[in-house]
Amino acid sequence: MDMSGPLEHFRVVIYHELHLGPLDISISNTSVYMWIAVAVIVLSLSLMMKRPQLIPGLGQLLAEMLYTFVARQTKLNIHNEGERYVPLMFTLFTFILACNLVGLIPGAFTPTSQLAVTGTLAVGIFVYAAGLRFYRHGWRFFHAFVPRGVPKLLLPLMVPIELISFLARPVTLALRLFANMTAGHMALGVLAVLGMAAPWFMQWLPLGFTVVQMALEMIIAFIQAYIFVVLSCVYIDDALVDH
Amino acid sequence: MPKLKHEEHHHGHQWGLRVGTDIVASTMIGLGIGYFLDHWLDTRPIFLIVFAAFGLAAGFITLYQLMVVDLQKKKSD
Repeated sequence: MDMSGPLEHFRVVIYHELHLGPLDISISNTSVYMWIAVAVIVLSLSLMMKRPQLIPGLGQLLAEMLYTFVARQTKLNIHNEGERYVPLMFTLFTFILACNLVGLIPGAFTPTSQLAVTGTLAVGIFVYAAGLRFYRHGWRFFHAFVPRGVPKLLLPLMVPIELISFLARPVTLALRLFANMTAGHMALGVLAVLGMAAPWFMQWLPLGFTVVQMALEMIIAFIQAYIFVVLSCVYIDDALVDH
Repeated sequence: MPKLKHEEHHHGHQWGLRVGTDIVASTMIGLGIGYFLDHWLDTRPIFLIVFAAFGLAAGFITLYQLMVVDLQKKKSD
């Protein structure tokens, strides 16, 4: 553990500069840890499902529980066409979960503590949902910004408000995941530095709290992945239903 | 698939966790729109103030929909 402060482990370090035209695709610790997360997920899931049996063993049971959990949430939130979105949502869930959990290994970097990563995911979902809504409803897309049952006099007030709350969706999605991961790791860092700096007879207190905080972080890793997926489902469902 | 009973209770905390960021993000979006409109039309600070108010209102309306409209829908189901 370095003592250089609670913000040091959020620094993006570029290992290898790479440019593809105007695109900067440099390999940084963010991308490396995302690869690690993907590798962990792919390896563990394919190992768990290597020899599927009718009566599942421990690994298969775990993988199936994870899958049915995501599938049920997706079908619950996307009302008629939930079936089609299960693969996307399962990928999203496992990716975010793995990114969150990989960062909990001491010394590792958390990809989801970068606003660029969570922002890309959120904007991707948002653009997809907006495109889907436009594809399904054509120009009636804009009817969603005119709430029903509102007096005509209030419309100049309501339309910008509805527009803003529509545009705020990707921001909330990205900000929530980013803020939760960053805050949690910052608290962990502060507690650990405090534990190192304390006199020997008091060290048990902050260091004990890091253990508690670690458990809390694991719960948060799950909850944040879950919320991201559920809200993506809600936004896609919103695009599918008629307004 | 038949709906399990405990799924009904899940909704409470699931939506509770949204509230904090919703207000912040709507206000930020409103401020952003206002700032750029001002920058563009050179009318500082009119649009900034107006859209910040709109953003805040949008945040509270999302909150209201979350708490009241969704709950009423659930009760009527």
